[in-house]
Amino acid sequence: MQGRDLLRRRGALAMLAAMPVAFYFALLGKGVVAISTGGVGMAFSVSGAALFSMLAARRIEPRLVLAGFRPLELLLGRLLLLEGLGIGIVVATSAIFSIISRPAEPGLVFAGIALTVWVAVPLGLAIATIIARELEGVLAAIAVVGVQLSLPLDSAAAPFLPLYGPLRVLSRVGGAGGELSGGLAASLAYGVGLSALAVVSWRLRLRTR
Amino acid sequence: MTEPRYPAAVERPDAMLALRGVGKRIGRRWLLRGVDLDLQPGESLALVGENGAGKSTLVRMIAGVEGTDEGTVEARGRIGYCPQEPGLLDLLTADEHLVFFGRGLGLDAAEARERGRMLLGEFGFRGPQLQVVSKHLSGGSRQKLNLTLALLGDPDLLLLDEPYTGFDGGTYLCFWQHVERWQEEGRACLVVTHFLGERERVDRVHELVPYLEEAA
Repeated sequence: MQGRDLLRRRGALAMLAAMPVAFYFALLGKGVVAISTGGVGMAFSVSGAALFSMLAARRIEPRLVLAGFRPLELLLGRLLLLEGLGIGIVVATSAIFSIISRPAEPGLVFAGIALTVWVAVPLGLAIATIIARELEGVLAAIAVVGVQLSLPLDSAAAPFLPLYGPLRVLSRVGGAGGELSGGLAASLAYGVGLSALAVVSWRLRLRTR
Repeated sequence: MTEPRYPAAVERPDAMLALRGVGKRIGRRWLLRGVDLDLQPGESLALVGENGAGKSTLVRMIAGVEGTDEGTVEARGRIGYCPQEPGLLDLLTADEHLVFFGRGLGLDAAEARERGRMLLGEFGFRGPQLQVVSKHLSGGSRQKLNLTLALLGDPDLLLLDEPYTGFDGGTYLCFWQHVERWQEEGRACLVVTHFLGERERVDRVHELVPYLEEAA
């Protein structure tokens, strides 16, 4: 039902899909860099959607728990819904990027953007469960994704930010980024870690007697 | 505090609700401290107090959706909690809310709709509104849905935080008739209210006084 509520926000869904494409087109003349930038746009849109979906439900979820739902069930339901929705957008955007930019390995474009969704959804959920206020939460999400965007991948600080893995995979589209396994491992680790953080924080927030 | 109108009820040992020394801190300041309260089956209690006295916070702690900082809250049976502000999903219809909450309560969709529609009908919620998304319902209709969701699970203990906000006069009176009926059915009802006139409608009144001492 919460999915139904989210899927009826057609304007928000259109913007969700449009943002990565807009980021990509902004740097279209820069070759494959545009694809990484499109991935960053995906991170902004998906983490924002996760953040707001969580905050929009903060009044109803304690009541749902009181009615018999388990907090974990509600959070995992939202996580899966957003990941599923994100994958739909990934298919469309990676197809657009691949058709226009014609990268040597289109599979890497799909993998990199899919990994961005894998990390950005729990990032948004974790921020929402920890901060739980719209403005502060949005600023935190912008800060994390924005700093990641401005840091070169080979800087010492880059691996300490959650989108390091997906961006490393996307940078391989242009022949950089080192071993693919490193980017995959970092993505998986951040996705799992942020999901765990969201679960723990959510359980604490919805604790009952 | 007023004397109980049904003394037989309060002598029953099987309290639905027992609060002992309950306290809540907001930052360094204690909002509530040392709150003791009992509620028996079939008893109604009005929780009153000035703005900021902590009425809604106390009800949230009793419902279990907010933790206490000291003291104990013991509640028995199923709780029906109607918060002051309707916690609804904007783009779900009334029917969909009934099905959603019903699922958590272990009701199948048809059962949840049937029970919910009956309750909504009792509060004058018109049939066509069932298919309207909640953001397009009037404040009073949203509140009727809010109250119905609290009642959907056939609760033993009702926690109603100003549940009639936005109700018209007829529905308001209907609400208090329902409180009497719920009491007769053995349910315990705690109603947060500001209206002095409502003190006559309940068995007991508990007044919360703001706790002003700074926490150590």
